[in-house]
Amino acid sequence: MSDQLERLVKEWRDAQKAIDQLTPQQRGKDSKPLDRLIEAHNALIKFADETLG
Amino acid sequence: MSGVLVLGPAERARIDEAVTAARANPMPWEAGEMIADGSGTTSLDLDERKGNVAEIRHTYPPQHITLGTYRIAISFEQQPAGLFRHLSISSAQKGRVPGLEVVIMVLEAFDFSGWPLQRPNRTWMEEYQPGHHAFNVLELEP
Repeated sequence: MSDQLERLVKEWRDAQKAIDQLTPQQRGKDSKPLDRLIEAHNALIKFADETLG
Repeated sequence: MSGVLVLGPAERARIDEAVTAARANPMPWEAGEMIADGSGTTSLDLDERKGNVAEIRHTYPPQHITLGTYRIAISFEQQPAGLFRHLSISSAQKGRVPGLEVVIMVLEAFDFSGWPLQRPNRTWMEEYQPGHHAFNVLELEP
C-alpha cells in the first residue's frame, strides 16, 4: 500500500471511529464529524479514480 | 482494481453489529413477494423494479456499511424455502461495479458460504440509483 493510500485509509478509519463514538443526538448537534467522514470518503474515491484507474 | 476496499478488525466488528441488527428485523415473505422478481433475470434496472421497493425497504431497512469506496447493504428475508441472507455491494464511484475479487472478500466477511456459493442462492445486478448498480447475492441460511 502506498504512503498516500495508507494516509487516506487511516484518516477514513479515524473519521469513522469518531462518528461511531457519538450518540445520534450528538451527531445531530455537530456536523463536523460527518463532514470529516464525507471528506475522507471523497478523498478515497478521488484516489481510486485518479490512481487506480 | 478501481476501488479501495478497507476491511480490518474494526470493519469486521461493524459488520458483526450490522448482521445482528439485520437478522433482528427480517423481511417477511408477505412483503418480499410484492417486490420479488420471478423472471430469473440477472439484471434489473430501476424502471423494471416491481412494487413499492422504497416503502417496503423503509419498513424492513437493510443495514448499511461503507468499506472504503464500497457500499454494502445487508438484510435477511423470509421466503418459502427458509431464511435468506441478502447482501448488496456497489461502488461509490458512479458507473463502476465491484470486481469479483472484492465480491469474494466481502462475501467471506459477511459469512456467506464462499464462492461459488454452496447453498441455494441467486445473484443479480440491480440499479438502485440512476447510474449506480449493485451486485446482489441472496443465499439460504444453513
